[in-house]
Amino acid sequence: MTEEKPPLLPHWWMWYVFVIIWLALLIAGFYLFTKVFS
Amino acid sequence: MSVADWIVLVVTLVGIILYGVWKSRGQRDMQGYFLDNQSMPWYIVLLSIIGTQASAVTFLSAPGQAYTDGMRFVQYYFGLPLAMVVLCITFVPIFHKLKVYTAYEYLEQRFDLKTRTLTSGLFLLQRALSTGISIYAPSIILSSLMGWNIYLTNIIMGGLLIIYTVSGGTRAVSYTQTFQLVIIFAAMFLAGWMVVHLLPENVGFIDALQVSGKMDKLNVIVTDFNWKDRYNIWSGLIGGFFLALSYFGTDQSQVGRYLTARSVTESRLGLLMNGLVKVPMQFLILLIGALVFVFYLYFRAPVFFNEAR
Repeated sequence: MTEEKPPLLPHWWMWYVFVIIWLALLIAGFYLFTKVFS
Repeated sequence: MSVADWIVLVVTLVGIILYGVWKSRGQRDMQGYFLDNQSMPWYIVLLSIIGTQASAVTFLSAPGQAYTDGMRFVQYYFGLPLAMVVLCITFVPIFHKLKVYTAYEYLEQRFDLKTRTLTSGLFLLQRALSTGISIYAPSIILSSLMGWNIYLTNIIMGGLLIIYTVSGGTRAVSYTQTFQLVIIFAAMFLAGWMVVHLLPENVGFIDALQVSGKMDKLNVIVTDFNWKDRYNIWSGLIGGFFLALSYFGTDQSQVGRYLTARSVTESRLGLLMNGLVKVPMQFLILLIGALVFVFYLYFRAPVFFNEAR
């Protein structure tokens, strides 16, 4: 089965890394949120 | 209830059923009924995945959870984006390659009919129990508002669901869930805006956050490792990952959503976008609960608050 090309990014692994980075940024943002308001 | 409330309620319920039936017209074979001829774009896959996971319980009890316990429940979703990545690499290409109708059909090809029967039976049992709760939660509210008998309300709610799902198949489910999700999100944003808008004049959004934070309701991240604490970053990342992996990878209610996609790419995009939006979405839902907590510091809470009658 040939690998379909993803939209926007050249490889699927870049999409996977993007999702993981996004999660890391969210956790960092939430950590700051918690520190600021608690 | 006023006449306007009745109109909104009836038009929404009837509209959802008619929309589902209309969208699924012309379907005659199994491929169309179960997989919608694998024609769905990624954004419909995404919305129906979110719609499947988010029941009335999500939108009723999640703010309630933040009201009582703070926002730390959001950590429970941290493993979900990681599970989406694993599913995109492993399950999605296999399911598409084998052209299965259900996740359990794959198990029959891989093992035997007994395995398929056992897993699909477990799925039906588990889903029947959870759907019962998903129907019961809004029925409590409707029966309280209308003064209806709770059993009758359950039968009406469940009956409406059965009409359009059985008659319309997966296409009806996907499109009605998209429609329902738009209504739910509009209502949630309106609720969020109203709770801030209705606070006393000298209390703004940031003030409300500061009050909520001082009352320990904005505890989004808990880094302490504690076996007895259900919600912390470690249980969210590890437990949430395996929970999401089993739910999105083996539960037909979710697998059936992304199997309707027109290609592997569309399935993957639907799942990855779910990984991108689910955590912020849950954060916002919980934030409403934290703000409602502040609201009821200034106003008297309902007499029967948090009590099913």
